[in-house]
Amino acid sequence: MDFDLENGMRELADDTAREARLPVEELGRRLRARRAARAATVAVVAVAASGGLVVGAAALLDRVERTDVVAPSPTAEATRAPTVTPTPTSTPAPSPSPPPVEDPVVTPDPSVPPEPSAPALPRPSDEVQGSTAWAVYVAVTPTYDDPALAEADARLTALGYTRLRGGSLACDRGAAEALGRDPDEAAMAMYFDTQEDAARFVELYGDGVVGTVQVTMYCRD
Amino acid sequence: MTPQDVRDTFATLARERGPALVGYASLLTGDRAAAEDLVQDALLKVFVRARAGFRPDVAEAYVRRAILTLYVDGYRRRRHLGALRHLLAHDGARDGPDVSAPDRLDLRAALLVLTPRERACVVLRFYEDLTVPEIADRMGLATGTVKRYLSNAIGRLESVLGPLASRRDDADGAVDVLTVEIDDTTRPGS
Repeated sequence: MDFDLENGMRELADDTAREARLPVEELGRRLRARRAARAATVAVVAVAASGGLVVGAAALLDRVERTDVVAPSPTAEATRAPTVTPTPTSTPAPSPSPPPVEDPVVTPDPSVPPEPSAPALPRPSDEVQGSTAWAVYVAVTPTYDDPALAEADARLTALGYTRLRGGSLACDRGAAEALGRDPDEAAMAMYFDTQEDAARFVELYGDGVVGTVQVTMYCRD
Repeated sequence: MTPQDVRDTFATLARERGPALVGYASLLTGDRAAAEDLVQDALLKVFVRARAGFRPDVAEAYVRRAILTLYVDGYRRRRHLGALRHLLAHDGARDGPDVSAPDRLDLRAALLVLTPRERACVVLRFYEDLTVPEIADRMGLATGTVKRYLSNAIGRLESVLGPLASRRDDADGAVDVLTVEIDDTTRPGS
């Protein structure tokens, strides 16, 4: 029997709707705050615009007068445009949640002679919204079900990086352009705070790295 | 409408239609938490700008459009790769002889493998019941591009869900997208 996509989607949406919870009261408060901030911004801009008109008109009038009569100094009635400090309307940046510990822990056994230690894995970036990092892309694929993503995931897990990182390439500003890829593509990557850490990771990972790009990270909030 | 009317309309919409909006958004995002966040931001985006002439009877339509726009523009896509972990681990059980008809979990997973624009087109076609020209208008794309997205999406969905039930042609002559053909005049990069 063929799958009924329409009914399937309606049932899926209804299932989610049954469990959905919206904080209506809190949303109402946020709405009032944002509308108030927006109204204040509009008012400031309007005052600045009218102030600019007054200054412009006064300056024009002054020039007209000067062409007729030589005046020693400009009129003192000209007002300066008020300084505009825009009221921020964006919501405050959320505090980043502490990242899970990823680096593997090695406890040496004192009864065993020390062997040459394996190189320490570079610590991944905390990936704070809006911050920059050095992103090492280990897979970039047109779709999220591409086997290359699973292969890269397995290699990262084997290395010791167990938290899945990546998503839409568009979330890493600068990446699509640098890699010459479509921003809608799916990407699996590791992010590091320094170029040196990124380079060390590339050495450890081996073949298959798509590219290393310094990006600004979004979609992390 | 007074500012109080706007706030009242907002509260009524959020309370009475919020769950349905979250259900709609979840078809795009793939999980309820992301859908709730998306709906909240869409509500605020629409109502912050609401003016005296804002009509409550079309408020939900505005919010649905905002949900789609925010989603397609890259909103919170990051969650997708994490939600797909179970797909990345190849599941041998999927190929076993006892696999039953696709359930809602399979459909949710199947939708997640689509690109954001493909998923948006599928949701607008099969959930919102829009025609291809209407989808093109809603998303600011050429009709040929929408057809391409739908064709690609259906192919990938069928690889997970099996054959999809064919829809009869719409009364206004819109093409049944299960037999859609690529428009040779599609603009590149749309």
